[in-house]
Amino acid sequence: MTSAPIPTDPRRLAVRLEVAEGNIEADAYQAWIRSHPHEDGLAIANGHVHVLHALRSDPVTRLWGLGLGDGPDADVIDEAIREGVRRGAVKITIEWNPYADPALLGVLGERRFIVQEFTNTYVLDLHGDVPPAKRPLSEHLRLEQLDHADPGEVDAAARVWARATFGDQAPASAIAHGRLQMSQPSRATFVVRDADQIGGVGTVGIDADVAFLCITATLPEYRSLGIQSHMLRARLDHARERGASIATIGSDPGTPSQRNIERAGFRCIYTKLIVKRPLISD
Amino acid sequence: MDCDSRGVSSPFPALPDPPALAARIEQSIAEGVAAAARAAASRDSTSDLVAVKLAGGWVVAGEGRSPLARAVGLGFDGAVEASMIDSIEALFRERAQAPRFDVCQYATPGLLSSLASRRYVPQAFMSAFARVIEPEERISGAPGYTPPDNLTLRRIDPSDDALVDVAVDVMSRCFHDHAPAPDWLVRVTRQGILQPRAVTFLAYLDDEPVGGGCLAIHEDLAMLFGAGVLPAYRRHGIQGALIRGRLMWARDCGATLATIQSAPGAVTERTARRAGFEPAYTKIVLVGERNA
Repeated sequence: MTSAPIPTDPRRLAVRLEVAEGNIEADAYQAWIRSHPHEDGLAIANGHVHVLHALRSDPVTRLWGLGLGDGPDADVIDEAIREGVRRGAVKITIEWNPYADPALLGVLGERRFIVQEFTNTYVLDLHGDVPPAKRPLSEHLRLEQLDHADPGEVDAAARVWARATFGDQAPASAIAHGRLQMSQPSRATFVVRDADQIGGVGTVGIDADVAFLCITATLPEYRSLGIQSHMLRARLDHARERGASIATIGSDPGTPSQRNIERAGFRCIYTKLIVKRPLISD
Repeated sequence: MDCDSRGVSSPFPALPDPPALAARIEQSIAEGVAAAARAAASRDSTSDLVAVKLAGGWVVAGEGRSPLARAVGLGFDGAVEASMIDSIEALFRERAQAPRFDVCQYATPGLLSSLASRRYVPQAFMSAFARVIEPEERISGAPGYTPPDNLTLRRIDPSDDALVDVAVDVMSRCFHDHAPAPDWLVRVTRQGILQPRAVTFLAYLDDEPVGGGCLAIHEDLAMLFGAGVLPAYRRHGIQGALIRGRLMWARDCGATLATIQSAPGAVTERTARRAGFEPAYTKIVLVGERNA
């Protein structure tokens, strides 16, 4: 595959990454909806903007790519709110890119969106070498690719991700979200097992030549064993073998995940702000 | 080195630990903003500017829409308690101002959620960029961005009132394309130039001042700020020359780290990236209600 050159202009790079992430998420959503029609979800792609409407099992509407075209996409937001209310979504979340049209600030404020959290976006040029993991995996651990077509395996991996991310009381919607992400043939999910127990998971999806790494987590009892480092490199190798030229991953700021990502050579290119608007009271 | 084709990799030395770097820069900025406010208040008895150290950072309130007025550098030394936020809000509201907080992604997460629960709304994104300065570094310009041969940078003496007036006039007009600049912008520009530790350079084409920029050095950190070029003289490499000139000054003063802030995607960002600056962190400016 001939890959497009990596844009040096940060806004162009932001657009490319947002479109890729939106496409990858939308593909997964649409595949899930087709195989689970009772979920009643809807994925909409409108140029650079992607809207993923609430599922019955995960009643949150999500938007990507707002304000990266011409203007702040106020009409897209308003339609997403209307449709979200109609579908019974509990909230809308938007990943707000700093390179979005500045007018988006006012648009979101007028519509009573409130800030939720920051998320760092990192990129890595896959043409270069990735530093090796600091240490090998312990002998009792093995890294392998998940069989996305095995519902039992997918469910087990999804539960691990949900527990690692949200704790022992992880909501059913989180597990559903994990199943959605890991069951897609367009994604590759890597797990680290300790005998029959999955200790860590990580997925990668590819859109054109952009690899998007996500759904990454390690159970507390398996942390500090280098699992994330090995799963990161496995996903990068997988992406490179399939023609990806750039990898991107998000991380909560100031966390061990951030340090793992940076050790693998990723650089933070911008920070997004996640904003939300509850809908349930509308 | 082609500064313009760095893409996602960089030939420059890597920046230090991001959270620690962000804390250091934000708290240095906070010190600078507070110093500027105190200096301004001491020069002008009619000013209601006040600077108060709170929650590990500084809160500057007063003077209406002054960009100095905000809480900055908070949240790096642990939780910011609700009572502290109440106190900060009171400082602003006593001066008929909407409370304004700069919140960085590496500040304690509770600060963002506390302000969100108080219905603060985002007003602006700001990107902070940083670069290492090597002691013997030859700071060169980006290929293809050569300034005019008749450009010189001259450091101004802050005790020379006439020259300060020239700098204030030129630099305030750089940020307001339609002359004359509004009073608040002129006042803020003067405050920046006259703040303690600030060094100001004017850019001249022959004997005509066409732009300027400031820096302040705190320990070994050089903070570049306030740079601009008059509209008629833009796109001639002068902005880049102002950055290089200040970096060289900073290097010669022993600074080993430099930082500059920009709205995402603005000219300042592009010029800074060509000069070797990399993204260090992001912050969001959050504004609350003017009345409780």
